[in-house]
Amino acid sequence: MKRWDIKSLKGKLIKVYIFAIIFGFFSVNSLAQQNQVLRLVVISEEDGTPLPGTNALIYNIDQNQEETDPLFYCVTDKDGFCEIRGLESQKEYILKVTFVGFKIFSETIKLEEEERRISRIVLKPEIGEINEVTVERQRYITTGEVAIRRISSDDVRRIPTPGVDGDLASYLQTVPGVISNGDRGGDLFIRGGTPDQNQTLVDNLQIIKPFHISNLFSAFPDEIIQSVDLYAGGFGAEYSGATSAVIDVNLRPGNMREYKANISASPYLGSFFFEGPIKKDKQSLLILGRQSTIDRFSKSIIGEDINIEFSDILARYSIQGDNITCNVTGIRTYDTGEIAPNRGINSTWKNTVLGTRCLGFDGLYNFPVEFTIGYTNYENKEGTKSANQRLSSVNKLYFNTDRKDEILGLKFNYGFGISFNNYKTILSERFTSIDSFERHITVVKVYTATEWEPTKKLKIQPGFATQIGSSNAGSFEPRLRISFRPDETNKKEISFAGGRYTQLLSGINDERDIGTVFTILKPVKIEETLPSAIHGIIGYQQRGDFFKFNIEGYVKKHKNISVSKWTPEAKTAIETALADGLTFGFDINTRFNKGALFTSISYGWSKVNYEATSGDLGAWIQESIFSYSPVHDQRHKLNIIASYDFLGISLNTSWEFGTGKPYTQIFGFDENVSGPAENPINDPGKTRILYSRPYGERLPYYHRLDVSLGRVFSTPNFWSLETEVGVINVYDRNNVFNFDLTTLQRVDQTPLLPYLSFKLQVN
Amino acid sequence: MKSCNIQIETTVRNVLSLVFFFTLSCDNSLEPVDKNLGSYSVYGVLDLNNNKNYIRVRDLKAPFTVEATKEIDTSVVLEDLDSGSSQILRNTRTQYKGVFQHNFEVDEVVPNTEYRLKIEKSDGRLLELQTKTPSLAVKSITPEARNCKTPITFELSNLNGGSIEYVLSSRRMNLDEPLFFEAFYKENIRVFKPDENNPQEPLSVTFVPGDGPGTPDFEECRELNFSKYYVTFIYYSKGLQENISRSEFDVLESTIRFGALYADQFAIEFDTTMGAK
Repeated sequence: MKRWDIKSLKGKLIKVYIFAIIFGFFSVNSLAQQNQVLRLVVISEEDGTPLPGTNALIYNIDQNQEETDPLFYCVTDKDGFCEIRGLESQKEYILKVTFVGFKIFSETIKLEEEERRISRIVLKPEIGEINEVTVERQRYITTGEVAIRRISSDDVRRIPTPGVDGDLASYLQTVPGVISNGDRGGDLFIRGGTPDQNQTLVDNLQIIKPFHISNLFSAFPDEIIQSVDLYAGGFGAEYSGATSAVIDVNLRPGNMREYKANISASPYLGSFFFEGPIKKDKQSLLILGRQSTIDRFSKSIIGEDINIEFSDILARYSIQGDNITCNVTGIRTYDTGEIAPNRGINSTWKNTVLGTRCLGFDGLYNFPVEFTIGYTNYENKEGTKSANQRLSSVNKLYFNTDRKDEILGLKFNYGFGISFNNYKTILSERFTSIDSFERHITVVKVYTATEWEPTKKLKIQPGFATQIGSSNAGSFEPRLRISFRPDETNKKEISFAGGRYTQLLSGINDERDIGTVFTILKPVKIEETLPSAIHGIIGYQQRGDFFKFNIEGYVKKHKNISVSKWTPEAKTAIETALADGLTFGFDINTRFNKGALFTSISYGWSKVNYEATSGDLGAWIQESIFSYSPVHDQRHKLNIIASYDFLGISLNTSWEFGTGKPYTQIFGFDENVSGPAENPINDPGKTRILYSRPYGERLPYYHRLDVSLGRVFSTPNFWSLETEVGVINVYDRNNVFNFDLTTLQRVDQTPLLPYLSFKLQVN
Repeated sequence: MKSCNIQIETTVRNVLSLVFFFTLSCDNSLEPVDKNLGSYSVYGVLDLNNNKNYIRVRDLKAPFTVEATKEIDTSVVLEDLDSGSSQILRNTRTQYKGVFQHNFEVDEVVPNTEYRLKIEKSDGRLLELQTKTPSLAVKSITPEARNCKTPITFELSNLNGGSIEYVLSSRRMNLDEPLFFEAFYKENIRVFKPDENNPQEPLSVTFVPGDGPGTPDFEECRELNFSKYYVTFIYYSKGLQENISRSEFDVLESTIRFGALYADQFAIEFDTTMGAK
């Protein structure tokens, strides 16, 4: 009797699945049902750009709108787009469109049989203070928010950063579960996941490491951010290629109605910015360029050298057609400098991203279509100032498309993508178990996800994704999100998110050494097992008019993480081994926002443990090491953010407290004489630094208070001057970054850093 | 509304108080060096062939800087436990690449004697290492009349424990040559370890010169171009040979290498004038 080969059966099923999705993608239009559809594009009158998160509500013509729920509603996406289905033809309805800070739009609508109407709604700003009524209008927001942090440009702006603008990197570090290794390196660990297990997308374009060498900055200042979704785990099937977290950045398009430009300067960086219409209300351009200056001014401000340099330039061309929205985005970042000061080791990384994302919603289509074409390049290298000793790079060319459909009354999202990837690594001595390589990999990925609401209280969103690489058999990635609203409103919600996640590459770095961020991006070979993870997250959320509270518990189980093997002797060369990681913890977050006051208090507790998959992870004494807490295992993290506007001044404060992360002590500094062949009197011996038990100690507590005061001075002739004065590390806490192994010199993070910054803007 | 604002202000004030409480109370010290484990590294071998020997003592917690290594806070004493005498070892400080090294000089040591090395810090912390120097082995070779086809037995007796590494070779080694030990390890070494219950167990080896290592094919003894075999051996104090040859890396044990030894060599002559192989 023939035995079933489960693995080969699974591979065949995945291939059939991919074929079905791609076939369905091209054929579904002819099969789709025809009915009435109202498509809305909501834009701001102020600058002609789309307004994401707007509520569009449909009421019966005689319905009491204050006391009853609407018949239908939708919430606009990042393109300001949403659609409502199920409207009866030849029937009059009231359409209301509401958004905080804007006047309510209301009109009567009546759709013809089979009509697919596209309405462009322009919302006018509401002058005056936002009151309770405006907030109440926001009640129909999206649900199932577990493990998702929706970040607005206002959120980012509230975090004091030594420049006029806030920055996404500074904000993310205030989120519980997001850990960084001090104030340099640009690496973020999210709920136990390492930087290579996270994925950052900018308008669906992948950017490998957008965080600058100073952890205060990324390529995304608040000035260009429309919104950011941080998926700390449990993300849906539409995201694949990461096993820990996804940071989905949506940039705003340039102003469609007015030209604006500014230049800014601070001790840390200088920037220029321009935006304006190319064709009013149809096309716009936005350009931002920044260059760090801290290496020139640090000596005179804080009395010590900060030998880092970074820059970025971003350009965005946006088209708002009657039935299509497109954004062409280009980003270039550059970072270089010493992660650990005075080591003489220079780290450099560069990102180049170019691509376009379009959303088509023509009446010809039963459902909108989204596609992305992009190119991503990333290169990181490390060496002395005169010579690079190791380099790893990736080039990606990709096409992704996403669609929606409705089958048997169920809404389906589905899509597929193809990417052509080139990975190249040139190594010298550091990674002894890995040779230099260059590999070309083609990856096809597909997904489907649906949404089912058996009752008004319960929403279930199952999904499935798979990735097939030219050197991989295919991944199996089921996903599930469930939300339960006990009182049928969005005020209380219990949610669950989980699934299986895989990635087709491993990021390998020397995690023993905090002073290096060089990472080899290595595609997994066919004979190797893919790195994967299983996530399970459960959360409770409560919203009030002015406050939001949520608590989440999570578990992440990672498999096949490449880690550096432990050696008791400090060596630059590393060997790698595979480990499994288990992370679990919980986060509590409360936000209060009323009038001029905003406060947020977040607390996170977590535990991360790595365990050897097979063999061991090295040895210290004769016993082998089978498990340890890695460097990003921070148990407690507390963040308090407070912001208050008064007399035209914005006061922002951010305080962070974190317990110490694991580090390895030095057992001793030795000069080993190999007697009797060597004689102490004649032979100097072999100099060596010996580690103590791996990660056996914890660094001291970390805490830091940052404060800023900002004010805008406007002049009648269209000029305005925005100023900000602030202090990073107000009480000059000596937060340790690392220590130099040879001299035992302790290296601390940024000391008290005062700054004064200006932004001169012309409207 | 006003009472609500007052409540918020109170909360903010309390939170800020908490912040400053944390600020003042948190211990910020960092101890990069594990002071609870290990104190000194000790490398030295008491070689009975030498008039003077040196023992390198290093404070494991002192980084590689001039300041940290200029002085070593320790007194080093070698006690003869058999006679009860002791010698305070003189520190002969040397400098290598700017870092000071402390090598303590030991006057001549005698065979078959129990020695204790005491390394004491001014705060009273003490590291003690003990070794028994090897006894002088007595050799015997049988039979008296030997040719290239005669099985020859050599024996080393009067042993007091410890291992013996030996090489049987037609080549003579120069024991005074500083690189002797390195060369020795490249040869075909054999190791003799006495029975744990019988440390006096002699080393006894039987071989036929014509079948010995490095012997070319030949028909008759006279074809041999040598008439002597050399037995070169190093006799280690108990545990030293195991320490040197350990393949597993153990941080704690890798910083201590102390013991005693001596090397010796003797020739075994045989007649090559007669007889076929």
